[in-house]
Amino acid sequence: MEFVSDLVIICIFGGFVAIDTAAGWQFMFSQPLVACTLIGFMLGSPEIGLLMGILFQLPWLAEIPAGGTHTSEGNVGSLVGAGLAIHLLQKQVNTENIILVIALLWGVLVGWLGGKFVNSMRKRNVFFVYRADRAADDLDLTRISLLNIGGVGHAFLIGFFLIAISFSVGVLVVGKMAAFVPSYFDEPFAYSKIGMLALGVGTMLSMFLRKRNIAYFFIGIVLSLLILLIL
Amino acid sequence: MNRIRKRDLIKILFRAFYIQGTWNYERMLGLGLCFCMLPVARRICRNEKEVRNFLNRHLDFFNAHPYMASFALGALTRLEEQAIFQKWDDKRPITIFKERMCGPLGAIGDALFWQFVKPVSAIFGVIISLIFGYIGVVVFLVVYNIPHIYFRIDGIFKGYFKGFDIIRDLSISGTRKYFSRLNSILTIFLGALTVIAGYWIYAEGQGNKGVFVYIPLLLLSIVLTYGKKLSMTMNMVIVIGISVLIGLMI
Repeated sequence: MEFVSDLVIICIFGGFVAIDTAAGWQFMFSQPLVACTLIGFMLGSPEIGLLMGILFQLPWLAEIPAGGTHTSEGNVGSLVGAGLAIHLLQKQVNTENIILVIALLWGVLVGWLGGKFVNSMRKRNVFFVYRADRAADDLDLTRISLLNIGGVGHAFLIGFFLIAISFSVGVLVVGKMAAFVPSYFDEPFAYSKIGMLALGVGTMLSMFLRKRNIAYFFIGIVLSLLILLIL
Repeated sequence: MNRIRKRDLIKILFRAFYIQGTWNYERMLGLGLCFCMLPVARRICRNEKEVRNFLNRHLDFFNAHPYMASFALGALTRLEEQAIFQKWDDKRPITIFKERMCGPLGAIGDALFWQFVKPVSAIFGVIISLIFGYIGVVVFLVVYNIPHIYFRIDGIFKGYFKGFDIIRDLSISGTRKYFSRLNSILTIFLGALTVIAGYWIYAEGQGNKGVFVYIPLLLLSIVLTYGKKLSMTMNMVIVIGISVLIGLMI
C-alpha cells in the first residue's frame, strides 16, 4: 500500500518536473536540489531528499541544454534516485549507505534513459506543428492554443510514465539487490557521498575556473574560511 | 481599429511561460511563438486574410533562449501593430527581423542563464544547504528566479517600446565585457564551494579521513570532466565505483 501511494505521489510530481524541465515555466523547481527535497517532504524523509539533491545538483549542471543539444534527463533521474532511496530506507535502515549507492546509480541510469525519452518527445512534437498548420488554414486560433498546451501535456505524460516504470523497477527489482550486500559493507559505501560531492565540485571547477580569474577563486576560499570561523 | 493594450502584453507574458511547449527539431519554438502571439492577432487583425498571413508568418521556424524570446515577442508585437496602422505593403521585414533575432537571443540567453545564473544560483544554493540545510533550496529558487522573471517581463515591455531598435540592445559583442565580470563572481563562489564541501565532509562524521579522500577524488573529477571527454553518466559511475573501492581499501 505504501508503495502504491509513494508511486502515485512521485509520478504526479514527476510529470510537473518534466514540464518544468523541457516544456514550460522553468522556475527550476525541477532541479535536483529542489525536486529531491520536495519529494523528500512528500514521502516523509526530507533529510534524505536534501542529501540526494545536493549530491546530484552539481554534476548534472555540466549538461547545458543550449539550443537543441541532446542531454541526459538529470532532473527526472535524480527524482527517481531520491524517491527510491527514501522508499527503501523506510524498511532497511541498517544498510543506509548501500541503498544510497544503489539509488545514486539507478538515478544516473534513469537520467541517461530519460534523455532518450526527451529526444523522442521532441521528434514527436512535430505532430502538433502539422496539426497547427491545418488549424491555421481553418483560421482556428483556439485550436492552435490547445495544440501548444497539448505539447505541455505530452511532456507531463512522458515524465509520468518514465517515472512510473523506473520507480517501480527500482523498488521491485533493483532495490532487492541491497538485501544481498552484507551489512558490513555499509561503511565503505559511505565514501560514495564524498565521491559524488567531489565530482560536483570538480565539474564546476573544470567548467568555469579560468587562469585569469584565479585570484577570485582564492578570495572565495578566504571568504568561506572566514564565514566558517564566524559560525 | 484596435491598438495593442497593456493587458495584451500581459497575456503574451503569461503565454511566454509555455513557449517551449512543442519544441521540436523541425521548427523549434515556431508553434510556441505563434501561441504567444495569438492575443496580438485577436486584437489587431481586421479580416481573414490578415489573420491567415499573420499565422503563416509566425508558425514558421523560430529559435531562441526561452526567456530571451520575450524580447522578440515584444518587438514583433510592435512591428505587427505598425504594419497594420502604417499600412505596410510588404511585411517581409517582420520575418527577416524574426530570423535575425534568433542568433543574438540564443547566444546571450545561453551565456547569461545556462553559463552564469544557473550555476551561480545552484552553487550558492548547495553552499547554503551544506551549512544551514533546507534554506539553501529557497535561496536557490529566489536567486535564480529574480533575473529569470525580470528578463521575461522586461523583454516583453522593452521589446514592445523599442520595436526594431531592440536589436541594438542585444548585440553579442556589447555584452561580452559583462560576461567576463560575471565569470569573476562565479569564480568566487567556486572557491567557497571547494572549501565548504570539504568542511561538510569533515563535519558529517568522516573527519580527517574523509577530507583526505575528498582531495584526490576532487582532482580525479577535474581530470575526468576536463574537456568533456566522457559523458556525465560515465563520470558518475566511475567516481561512485572508485569511491566505494577506496572505502573498501581504507
